[in-house]
Amino acid sequence: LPARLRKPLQPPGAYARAERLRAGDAEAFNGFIEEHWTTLVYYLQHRVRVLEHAQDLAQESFARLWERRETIDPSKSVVAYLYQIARNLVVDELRKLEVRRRWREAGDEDWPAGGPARGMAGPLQRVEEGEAMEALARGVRELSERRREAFILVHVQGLSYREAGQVMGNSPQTVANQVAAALTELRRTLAPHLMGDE
Amino acid sequence: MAMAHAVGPLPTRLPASTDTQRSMSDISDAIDPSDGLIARAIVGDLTPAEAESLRSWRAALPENEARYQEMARLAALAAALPETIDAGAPPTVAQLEHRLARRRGNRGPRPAVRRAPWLRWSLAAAATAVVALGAAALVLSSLSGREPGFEIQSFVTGPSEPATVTFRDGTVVRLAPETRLDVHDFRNERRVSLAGRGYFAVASDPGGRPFLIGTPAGEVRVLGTRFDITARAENLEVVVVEGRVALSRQGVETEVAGGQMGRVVNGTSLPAVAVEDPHERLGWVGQFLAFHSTPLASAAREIEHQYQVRIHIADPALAKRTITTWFSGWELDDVMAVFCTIAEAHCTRDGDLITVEAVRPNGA
Repeated sequence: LPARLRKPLQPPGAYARAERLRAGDAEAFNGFIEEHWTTLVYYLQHRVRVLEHAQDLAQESFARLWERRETIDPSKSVVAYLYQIARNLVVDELRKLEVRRRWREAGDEDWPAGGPARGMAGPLQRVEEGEAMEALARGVRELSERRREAFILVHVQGLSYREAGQVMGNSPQTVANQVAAALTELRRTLAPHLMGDE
Repeated sequence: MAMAHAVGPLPTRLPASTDTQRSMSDISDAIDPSDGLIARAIVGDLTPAEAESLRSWRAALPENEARYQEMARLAALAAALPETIDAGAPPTVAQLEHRLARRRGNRGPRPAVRRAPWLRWSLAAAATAVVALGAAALVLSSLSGREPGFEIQSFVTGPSEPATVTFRDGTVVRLAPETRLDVHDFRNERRVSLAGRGYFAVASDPGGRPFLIGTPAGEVRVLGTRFDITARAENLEVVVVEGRVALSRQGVETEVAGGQMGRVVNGTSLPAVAVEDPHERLGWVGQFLAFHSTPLASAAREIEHQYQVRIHIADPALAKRTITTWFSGWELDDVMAVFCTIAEAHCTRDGDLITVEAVRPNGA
């Protein structure tokens, strides 16, 4: 069997936690929301651009997951399931004319802008990292829709290729290709910011 | 430092894709093999042989190593991207409940409808989807325990392809070709009717509600089990793989246990008889497995049977753990990946023998 069989598909404890979520354990669910809220809003903002809209869709995604908690399969990734729900909501939303209009009219200021991430230590590091993050945010924005989505699901949310494929309706190989293409493109764009530490 | 793109070939080529059908998006995303390998290395998706190839490639030229480091740094930075936005406070479960309650209040009562035509369409659409997704599971529909009790939902399969229906209580049904499954009530009781053939993996109900399957020849009452049922006119045949069912005909009830077959022939109930190997009778389900609180040892036997391998569970305590999941059209390595994740075990393969061992603390 390939080496990946020796590597758990989900982090340790994920199965037990998924069972708690399925059983309707509100405390576990609150923890799950806290853990994934910011990343899901970030993902959704890239799809609908307007932050408030992304927040609303994120809340609706969690509400639907809570409503359907009995359908959670503990052997599969709950996070991928959450993103599938969120993605379907986006598709439904983008069918609405009003949403498409807002999407078209959204200016640069509506995109996730980058800048220093919270929790980065040291003033010098903050400046360097802040510049790199701004460049990265810009680079991510300029990726094609598919590459951007695959990159965010895998490298920002941390889904496996298989899970990201499940969310996007693609094969894991296609996701792997899109992520690799995104990394190649970003590396080219961000070259000056990536040379620092070596 | 200049970003040299042409940095020497990899010692080995990337392995061929496992996909049998590559889409146009694959082609348009054609990438340098070294970048593909680096991208997969960053997420820990390399085989030992690929990892060795990458190590050699990195050591061959300083530019190669720099390229690897840059892409790894990029990926590390990406993880912090969400922290650069102000996503606001996350909602609590109580707030989500409020949101759901408000929506339910606005929606009003759902009308009672018969939805068979739509579901037939759903069947075709789902069949198309499964072709597009390769090994993805085909799910016709999920049925909610919250649906009004008087709504009938019908599932009808075509002449050649089996299909899978999942219920929100976790029950999974594999339907043979030319079969009809009607769902009569899933709120107050779990009641369906079947004409044709189906393999049922019925989830036990926390409230103790039985799962009732009506057929023209009699009724089958289930309390959490897996079985194959064929219902044609006045004939009914039930082969129980695991658990126990009660088969009733005109007030006469016959219990059928795991490894047994119960029958009604031309309207007459026959006593249950032992079946040498129930799995032999399940060839029609194709590459399909469904487990409900099934001990890993039993699940392993079924995987062995379906994929023609041997599975050795080295730790007796592991064998007693249970598994609840289902697979449709999955490759062996993917099934085993899930199996081993649930078992929290290490799986290794030597020829046709797969060994499942408990994970030792600290990797010892």
